[in-house]
Amino acid sequence: MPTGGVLGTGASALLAFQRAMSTVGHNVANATTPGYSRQRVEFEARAGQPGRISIGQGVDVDNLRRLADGLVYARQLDSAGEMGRLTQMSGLSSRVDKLISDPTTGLATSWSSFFSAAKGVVADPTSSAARSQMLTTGGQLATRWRSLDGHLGQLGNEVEASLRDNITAANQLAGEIANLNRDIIASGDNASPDLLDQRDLRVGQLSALVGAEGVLQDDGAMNVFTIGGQPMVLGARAMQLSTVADPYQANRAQLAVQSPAGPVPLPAGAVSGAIGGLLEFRSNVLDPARAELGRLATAFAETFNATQRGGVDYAGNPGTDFFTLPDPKVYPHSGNAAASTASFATSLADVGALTGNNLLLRFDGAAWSAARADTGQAVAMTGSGTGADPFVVDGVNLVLSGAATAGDRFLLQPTAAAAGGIQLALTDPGQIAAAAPMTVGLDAGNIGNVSGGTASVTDPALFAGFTSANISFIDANTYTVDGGPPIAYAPGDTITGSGWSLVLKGNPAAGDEINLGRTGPRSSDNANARLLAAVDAKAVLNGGRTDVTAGMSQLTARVGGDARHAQLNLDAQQVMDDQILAERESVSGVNLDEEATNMLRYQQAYQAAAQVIATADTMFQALLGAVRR
Amino acid sequence: MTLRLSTQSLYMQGLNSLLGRQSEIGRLQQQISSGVKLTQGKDDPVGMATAQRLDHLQAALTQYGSNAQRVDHRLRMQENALVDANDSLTRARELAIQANSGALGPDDRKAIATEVLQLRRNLLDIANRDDGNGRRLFAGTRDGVIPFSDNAGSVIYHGDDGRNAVEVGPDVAIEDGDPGSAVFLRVRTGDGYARGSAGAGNTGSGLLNSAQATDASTWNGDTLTLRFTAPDAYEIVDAGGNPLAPPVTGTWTSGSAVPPASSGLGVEFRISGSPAAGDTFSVETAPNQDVFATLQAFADALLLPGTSPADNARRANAFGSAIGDITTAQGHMLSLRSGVGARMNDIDTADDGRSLQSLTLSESLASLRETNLAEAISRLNMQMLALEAAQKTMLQTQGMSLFNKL
Repeated sequence: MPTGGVLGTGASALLAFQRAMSTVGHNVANATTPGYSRQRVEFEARAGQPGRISIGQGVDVDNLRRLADGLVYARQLDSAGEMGRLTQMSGLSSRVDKLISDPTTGLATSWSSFFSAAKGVVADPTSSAARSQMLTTGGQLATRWRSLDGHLGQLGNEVEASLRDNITAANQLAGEIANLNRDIIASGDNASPDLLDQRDLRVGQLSALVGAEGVLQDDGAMNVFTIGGQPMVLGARAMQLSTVADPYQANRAQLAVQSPAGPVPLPAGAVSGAIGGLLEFRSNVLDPARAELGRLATAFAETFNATQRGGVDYAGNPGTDFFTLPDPKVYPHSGNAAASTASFATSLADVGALTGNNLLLRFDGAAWSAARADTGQAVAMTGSGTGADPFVVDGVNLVLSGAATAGDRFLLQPTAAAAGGIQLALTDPGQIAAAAPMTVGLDAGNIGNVSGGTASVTDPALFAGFTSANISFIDANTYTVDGGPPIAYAPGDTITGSGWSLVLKGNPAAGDEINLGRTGPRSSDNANARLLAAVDAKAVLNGGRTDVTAGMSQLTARVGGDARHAQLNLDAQQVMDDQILAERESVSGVNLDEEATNMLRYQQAYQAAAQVIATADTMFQALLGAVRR
Repeated sequence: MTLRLSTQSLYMQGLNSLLGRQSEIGRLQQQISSGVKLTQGKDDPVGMATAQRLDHLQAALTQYGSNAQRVDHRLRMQENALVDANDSLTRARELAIQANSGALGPDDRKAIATEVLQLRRNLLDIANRDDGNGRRLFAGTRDGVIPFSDNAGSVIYHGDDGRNAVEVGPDVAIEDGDPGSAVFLRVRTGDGYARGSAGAGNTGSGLLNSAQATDASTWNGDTLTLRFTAPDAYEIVDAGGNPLAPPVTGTWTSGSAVPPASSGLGVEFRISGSPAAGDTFSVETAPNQDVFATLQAFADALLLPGTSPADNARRANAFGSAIGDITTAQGHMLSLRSGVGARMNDIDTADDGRSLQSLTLSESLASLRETNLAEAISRLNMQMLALEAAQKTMLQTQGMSLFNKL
């Protein structure tokens, strides 16, 4: 046996343990490096020369192994995408919720103040203080509505800004991954574990932005796709995301991917992660909340205005609109034929039929049709689009002008702009139409016990020509109107005339006369004020089943529910994410105690190997001494 | 096999539990210091929506409360006015009875007339009172007018017949007053049902003691006139002066009730004194007459000149009418007062209902929104204990590195 063999064996061991020690050092150094996977040297015994007795010739470092689990990594990527999405959804939904449910930014306080003030006018219809209070609180309510919508609009702007930032970050990450892929392909089988760690880390970060999955290729490259199947990195090539303007609303950004032919818009759901979360928040939480806020504003303002128009103000004039409201908005598609001159004028047809859903209007060359913008479900549309017979869809009147060409598309937003445009129209407290339009006068000679009556306008057009009417009771059971034919009467009957109706309180006697007239100036009547003050409880929404107060609390509940749902999902995902991280750490994480143990082990082994060399030296010296003698 | 823990995850675990405890402590602290546990819809979406609705109801109840105060104030003012008007009428009735006693000379009657006219002016002032907030009590729904003005002995009403109902509770609306026309103008006369009167051109000294409807089922309310055909005989004629068919005639003695019940007319006259042939006495459905006119008529009667038996009889008949009319007007004021009282009662009932509802609302709101201090504080203590434990564990595990022992 050659002594050189022992020396060689010892030397191989020294070398191996040195490497092992430096790997321990590398592990310790990277104990807190994000994405770092611990490494381990794998020893292999060096086989001896073949022979009768083959003694091994030491140890080789066979491999530097990176401890990582592909399955855990795939789950980690998946979870990162969900976390990215849910973090955005939860954070932003919570802000919408906060805006709507907080008493200082929400509508509830102003809403109650306004109706309290309206009830104050009921009690004291001629008090200018009470009327001013109603006007002031009405202005505050409109302002609150606008500012709430403005806050939500700002949130939309933030979403767009954040979208752009995230797209920049995602593009940069995709570029870095592509570069790392190139380096890894170039180094063949001997790719550095640290390069792989760096790539995995970046793919994880990209997943948090777009929700990615990685597919390893035979050449070592990792192709990255979004959850929706959109490629982000293919080998050493990275795709670039960008935004394009929404075809209907140029100031609204849409996600797109760059292609040689220019940006191609991506469908909803193509990406997840933070970017997907932002888009999902915008279309599923923010837009519906604004549309609903607008629907409530529309329903409230329309109902209040209609009630106000049914009354007479302090100057004796018919009531005018209390609030002004923008008409529903229609946007043409940017790709409509250049020859098309079609445009729509809109107005509100029926508050009860309003849904607030965005609708797409299409012209197929012969007829127009409407469908929901989000689901594509067809919506019934009646009318022919002319001024006399407008299209009526979801409570909106549409009058078409100009010539359409086949394929023209328009987006109808029935209520989205209403909340941002509601304004107080009245300037003078006297303009509040507190009085009913008719007065009920009783002749001084009446001996029946009729104390008055409830007169109402049944047909404003007919009533326009009304000046006065006289109802004479021939006896307790018969009356005439303006000297007309006798009509049978029973207590509680409704007496009708041209555009008006009257229900008497009390029972008339023969010879009694009731005189109806128009309400003049300086009336302290409060009959219409009572109707105004009750608009909060008037069921006008959803086909006359829901009042606006309930609609508001439903909005609060819905937005709160969205935020709660997102929060719960995020909490659940967080638990899963923690679990996956723990699994990853259990495979790839550095345990310093373990490293300390390994260090001791390798140190001792190194010392032993050094001893082997020393022993070999002693053996050699002994041999030399024996020869010298 | 035990799960391998990396040093990093050990730290992360410790850190996460510290952060979790701290945020929970922060939340509880905020709940305790602000007293509100429901700050945002996501904490309890349905609860938040319910709380908003209850808040709105609560605000409405508060406003109903101040409306009720306002209506109550107006009704009180009206009640005072009615009491004062009734006092004036009581005095006028005393004066009418005094005048009717017949032992007065022209000067005495003149003095009484002065007082009656003064009472009438008082009544006019009462009718023009305002409610202390600038609104007239008795102008109906006409604003900015003085409702009653005196025009050469007759009063003109400038208000209307409108009444305002004001909500003083959910679905409880109460009228905040009666129009002046109902209070002062449309006042029945006579006994409130039928009124008798002596003909203005009577030449005899017949005195109408009473004229009443004895049987409301047979008298249809038509005016019936008893005309003396001779000093001791009469016939009944209709409003046009034509005899009835079949004719009703009879003989009369002073103080007797004529016509007899067998005539089937349902009315009865009692006349004393000595009427002359051609004298008439009528009974009619009591018409309305404003109280000012009633007092004016009384004052005018007091100032009637002449001392002949016919003049005396004319005065006495006028005094008799005045007593009847004023008494009926008093009854009218009384029934209005009881109506006002009933409404004030309704306000009290509505007040009770509101306080009860408001209490229930407050309790529901508190349970939805307010922090339960006992619970929150005990949870805070628990969390603080847990945080302390987590901190200690963290410190201890940190010291446990093998590297420290090398």
